[in-house]
Amino acid sequence: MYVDRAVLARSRHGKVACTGCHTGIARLPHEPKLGRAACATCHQREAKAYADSIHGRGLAKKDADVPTCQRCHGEHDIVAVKESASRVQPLHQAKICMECHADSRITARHPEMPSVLVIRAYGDSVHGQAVTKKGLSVAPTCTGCHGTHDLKPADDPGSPMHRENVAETCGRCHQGILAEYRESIHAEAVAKGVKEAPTCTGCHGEHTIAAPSDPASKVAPRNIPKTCGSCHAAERIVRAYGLATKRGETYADSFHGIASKFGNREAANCASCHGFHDVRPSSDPRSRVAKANLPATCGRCHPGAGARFAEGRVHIEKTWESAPGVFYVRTFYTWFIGGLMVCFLGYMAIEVYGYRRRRRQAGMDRGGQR
Amino acid sequence: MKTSDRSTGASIQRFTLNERTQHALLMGSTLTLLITGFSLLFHDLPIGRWLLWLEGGVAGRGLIHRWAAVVLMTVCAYHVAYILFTERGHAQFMHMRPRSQDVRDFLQVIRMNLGQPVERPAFDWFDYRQKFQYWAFAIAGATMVLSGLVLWFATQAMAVMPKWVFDLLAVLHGRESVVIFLLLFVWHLYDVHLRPEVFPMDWSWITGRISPSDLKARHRAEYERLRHAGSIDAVE
Repeated sequence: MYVDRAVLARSRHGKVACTGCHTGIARLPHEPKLGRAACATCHQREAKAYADSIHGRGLAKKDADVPTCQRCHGEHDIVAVKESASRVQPLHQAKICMECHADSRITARHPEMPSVLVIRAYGDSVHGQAVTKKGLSVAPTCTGCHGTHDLKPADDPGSPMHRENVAETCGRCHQGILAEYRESIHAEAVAKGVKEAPTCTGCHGEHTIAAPSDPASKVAPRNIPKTCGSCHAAERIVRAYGLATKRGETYADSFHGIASKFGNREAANCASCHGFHDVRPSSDPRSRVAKANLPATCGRCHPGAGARFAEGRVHIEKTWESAPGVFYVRTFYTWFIGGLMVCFLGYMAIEVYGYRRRRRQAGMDRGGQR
Repeated sequence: MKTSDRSTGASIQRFTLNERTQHALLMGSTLTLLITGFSLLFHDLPIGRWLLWLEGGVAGRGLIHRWAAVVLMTVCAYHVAYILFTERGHAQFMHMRPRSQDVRDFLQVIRMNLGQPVERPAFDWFDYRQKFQYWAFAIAGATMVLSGLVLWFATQAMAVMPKWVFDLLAVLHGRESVVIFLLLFVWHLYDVHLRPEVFPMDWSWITGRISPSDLKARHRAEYERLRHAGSIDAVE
């Protein structure tokens, strides 16, 4: 192996002696084949984290496909992570991961690896775009969410992407949102171990995460009813946790629902009234849809809405119990329209009958005279 | 025969140009309101979605609906003024007032059609069918205008009304539109197009005129009155 001294001199380890890493050398000239560089001598913390990671565990099992320190960081050309020349500098770090995770030979040998399609979706996500389009080095790349040396699959409780850790992980950047989310009924349920309760990714998606202004986003105004509905209209979940029923269909039938469905972005969706990160049940006095807070909540779009307006139910069903006035009007018109139709058609039938009868009679009279 | 005396100068004016214009505007605005309203009422059906798309989405639909409502309300307001402040309008309106005779006429027509030995009633300038049409549309229209205005100015109305009133009015506005649809497309179109006496169409809404023979056949009382006054000659 040839080592370019100039490259080594520019590297982070330029001042480290060869034997600092290649500790196995006892005499010169050394053996042609050297042992693995002893990174752990200095980088103890990283080495320890790595040993417990999914990659490190693979290495312990002598899996040749798992990345070692050099695979990600480089060898004699190693530079500090924050330098743009670094292989794992945030702006191009994703590419390094993809060298293995998009390699079909490797994924074929490891069916437990996540689908490359899922991973690739990251490139179009708001995070991926922030890195590639905006050049934001603070936007999360793979390691930003999944961890670096200690990287573990999301179903491992030690993973920053395990459902109990997701909020804290996202909250490292989205601090204000995390503070709001902690107040929500969803966070409460996640903490209690409710498997279905949404954490950040439950509503925003994972690798596909997009800004609410993106029409494809799961939290775009038009898609919100569907996103909330994936749990709140799921019979199994609604029944298991005693959630209010028919929220989605009563909304879809309302002015707000119809306007939203046909592309009006101003029309209220679930989140407009219930809040989103800090969503709480109406029984909670802190909720935006608590009885006392309704005038203020409606008033955000309808400045006139007063306390009187908030009387009665918002999500009304087609039943007498839910909305007696509407029910009576509906029932009245069903009978009225039906009755009107019968009267009109009956009248016409009688007139046509009389007309034909008179014609027949006139014909008979004429026939009689002839 | 009918065509010939319609073309002669002997025909009688039934509706002035002013009245025909009122009718045309009312017809245009009501049709627009029905189409744009039904696209919302039937938003779940393909026809509703297609209409909504055609009207430029919910926003465009709302805009067209409200402008048509402005036209309708203007025509209605003008019509009230026309009744109150013009001699002709007032006279026409006086003919339109419901009388107990209308009920008797109605029953007599039914009996006649069912074969009982009764004569066709001698209808006046407006018969009971036309009066029913006028008053039913007036009541239904007023309901629509009032409920529509509340829904239009929802934000202002919210200050004084509870939400259940809106829910109720929204349903009422939708259902009443079906009543209006029946009133126009079943009753009125039958009355002016399909009825054997007028088929294929009573032309007076366009020409504004009625021939003496038609007048005699359809509005005998008025015909007799005019003949006695010497305004028209007798027809066979």
